[in-house]
Amino acid sequence: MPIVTVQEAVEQGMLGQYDTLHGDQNIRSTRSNPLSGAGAATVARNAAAIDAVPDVADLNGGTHILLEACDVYEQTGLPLMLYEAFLLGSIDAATAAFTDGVVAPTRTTGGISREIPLSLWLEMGADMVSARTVQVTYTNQDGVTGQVTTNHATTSNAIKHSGGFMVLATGDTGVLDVTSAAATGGTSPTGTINLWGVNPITILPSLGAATAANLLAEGVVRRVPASAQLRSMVVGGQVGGRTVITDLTYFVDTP
Amino acid sequence: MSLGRPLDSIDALLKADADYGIHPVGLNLRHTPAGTAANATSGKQPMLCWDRDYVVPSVHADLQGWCVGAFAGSTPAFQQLILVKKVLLGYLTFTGGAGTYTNVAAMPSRYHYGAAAPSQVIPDFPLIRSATTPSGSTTPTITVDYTDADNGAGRSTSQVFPSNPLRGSGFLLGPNMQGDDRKLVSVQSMATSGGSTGVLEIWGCRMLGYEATYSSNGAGHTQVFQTAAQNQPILEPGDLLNVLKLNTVASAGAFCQFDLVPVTKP
Repeated sequence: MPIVTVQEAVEQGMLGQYDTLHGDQNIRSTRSNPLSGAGAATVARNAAAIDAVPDVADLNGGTHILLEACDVYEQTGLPLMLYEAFLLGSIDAATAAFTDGVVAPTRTTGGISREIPLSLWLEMGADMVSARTVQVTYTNQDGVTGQVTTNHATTSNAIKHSGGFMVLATGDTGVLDVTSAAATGGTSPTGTINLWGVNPITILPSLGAATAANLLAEGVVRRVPASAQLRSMVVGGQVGGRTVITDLTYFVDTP
Repeated sequence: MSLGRPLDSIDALLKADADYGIHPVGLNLRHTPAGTAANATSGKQPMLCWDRDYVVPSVHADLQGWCVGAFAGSTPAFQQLILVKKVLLGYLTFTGGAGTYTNVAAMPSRYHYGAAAPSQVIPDFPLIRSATTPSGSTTPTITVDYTDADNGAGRSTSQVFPSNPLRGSGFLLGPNMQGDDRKLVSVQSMATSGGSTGVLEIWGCRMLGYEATYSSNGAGHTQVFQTAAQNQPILEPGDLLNVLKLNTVASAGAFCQFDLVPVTKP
């Protein structure tokens, strides 16, 4: 039975099915960021996936977790976004070869089972040694195939985990699948460029100090599968700074 | 779950998600243009519109529609992001002082959350938006004849639109309407005298979420039901949402996310 009241959540905790993810989300400083032009993209720096997503065996039969709260710290006062990540594809920066990834998840929303359109986030998988211009072909929120992003120029010294949101074709608001990608330009590029689908959970303000966020009290209700890859990124800036999500608490749940 | 308050309780949000599934939305925003737009020096409230609309998705037949449960945004500077339900009331196509107005729609009647019967949706922000970048540099005087929810039909306002209002920029009509009018519900005509060539749209926007990004690189986060939009109209599939950015004419990347919460029929 799903948790549908706060009382039931408390009872879950009392039964020992409450746990805490101690996330190691130390987000690396960024000195340069891919950006395709003023106003065109939202820059960000990313963290590695939280390593402590519980194994299904630890959930006492539960299949999902219901996020409750988290504590974050961001040195420079930049906001953080907590999100569910889907690796839609990747590009070998050296050869421009595209490797396909997963598609957008299918979830029940509004009583209808459907794919959830994602935002498309381009991330450096390694420290870049050359500029590259990336263009992605994707399936949009309505299932229209062959849609193409605008060119997204990466800078030659963009470092690992920096990135920016790609600009979709006019009218498009989300991506269901990435079908191909091209990388052009540059001199002797190396490394990998990742194409992430972002399903946002919440954006957390940070004042340059530790911040505690009660997600449920803020109206954020997220049930995610136990296998979900939860990540966080610093949004809207590229200055260097230290960022840590110290913990993420959840209830075990089966919707 | 039946329609009725309080969806703003945590219990109700949990139940709505467990029963039907909340729909998360993340949007990469481009507020164009970077450059000249309507400005505050002439007593206008400048703003930028998102360069595309978000279309509200379908919903199961047992449900009435959606409400916005939480809204969060991030911008590179102190700014105000407003999530709105947008209705294109009409648009004016003008060339060198001659204009043709095309009426599109009036503000609809809708169930508002928690209400037992539908009622008129009243826009918080009627606005004029430049749909194309006009050619020429003159400043057209725009006259709008409208119906106000309080004072009735036959109301009118004339305003000078700034020169070179690049596509996507605009200003709020609110401070400059006839008398104390604020609640425009339909537009009967628009005309221009002078000016260049372009297309001006008039929108009726009902606020669904408001976010002040309060630090130099900050974000804000709001549970909508705890703030201003508790009486929001129920969103139906096909409704258009847009994100306005007030008090600025600067274009910059921004990101926002919100949750659509299913609402059952009354």
